[in-house]
Amino acid sequence: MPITSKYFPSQISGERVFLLVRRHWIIFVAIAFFITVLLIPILVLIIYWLNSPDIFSGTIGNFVIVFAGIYTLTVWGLLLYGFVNYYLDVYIVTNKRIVDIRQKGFFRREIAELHLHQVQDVDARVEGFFQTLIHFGDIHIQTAGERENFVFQDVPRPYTLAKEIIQLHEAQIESEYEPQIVHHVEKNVDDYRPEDYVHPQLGESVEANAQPKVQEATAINEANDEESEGGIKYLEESYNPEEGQELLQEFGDKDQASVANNQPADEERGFDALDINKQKKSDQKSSEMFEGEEISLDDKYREI
Amino acid sequence: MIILLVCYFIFLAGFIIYSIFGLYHLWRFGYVGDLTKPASVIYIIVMITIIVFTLIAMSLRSWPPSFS
Repeated sequence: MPITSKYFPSQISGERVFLLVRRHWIIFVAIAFFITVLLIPILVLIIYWLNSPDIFSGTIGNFVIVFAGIYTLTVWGLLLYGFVNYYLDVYIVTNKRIVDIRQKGFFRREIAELHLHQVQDVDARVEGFFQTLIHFGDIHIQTAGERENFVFQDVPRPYTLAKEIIQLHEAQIESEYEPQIVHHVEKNVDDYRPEDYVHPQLGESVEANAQPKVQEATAINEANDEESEGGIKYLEESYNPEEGQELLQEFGDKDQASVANNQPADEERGFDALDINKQKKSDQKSSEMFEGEEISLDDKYREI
Repeated sequence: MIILLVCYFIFLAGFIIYSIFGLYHLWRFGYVGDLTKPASVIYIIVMITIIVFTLIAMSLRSWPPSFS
């Protein structure tokens, strides 16, 4: 189940967290146990003091109180250190990358990232009696290139996690190689095939989603047709054969003059003068703009 | 004996700075809905309890200025 809200500080917008894994809780219990063992002398001291309070009277009592206060706070502080080290070590798997955050003490923090498409192999290792009994172990993620392998240490359910990472990697690869439909706004309606939008898993729901797009294209095409007809009609009405002859005569004279002066052909200058070249460039530019507007199936899936 | 109190308060100042660093890490690098905030609260409560108990115990005793 993906987590849609922002879950960790460096999370990118739109990035969904699928796995957030810490080391197995038994690791912290082991750390806490060894630290708590250090509190045994304090407990002994308290019990001793409750049974015979007179023993700690005088100068020795003052020493004991100060020592006990310092010792207890030190042990408590070590527990905080252990907790920070344990709890801020996090392995995060999102729909885009794997993030390995390692907290080493208060002043050392390492963050390594690996894109899911760089994953080559994932294997889980459970070694030893306790790991087998309590179901925790290491996951080794082999990466493409010369990068160091990622190792998730002492994580719970390593086999299941390894399988989930492989599935996410495969999903990432599939989404990268999905066909993308690139179209112009002026594309013929007949070229829209609903089956282009049918997802193998989602089926008809995507096809239904394609219908408004087809209607939109129909409306644009009809508007373009009306505009073109209006333009032709205007040209037909405003065309004056005499003016046309004069223009042709004028360009003819300029062509002869340009040959004599070794200038560019009059057609070029003439087209430039008539802004036809500019118009062509403008058309090309707008065409490129439309080509840049890609509609990918991937986006469709996310919307559904 | 007063030197013991001085030593304790110097330690206490260092410990509080250390705790601030630790709690800052929990606050800064904690994630939404995790245990960092409850852990911070528990840590502060226990720390204050230990300090208060120690100070009460100290206040109940006499601290002559010299060792005797």
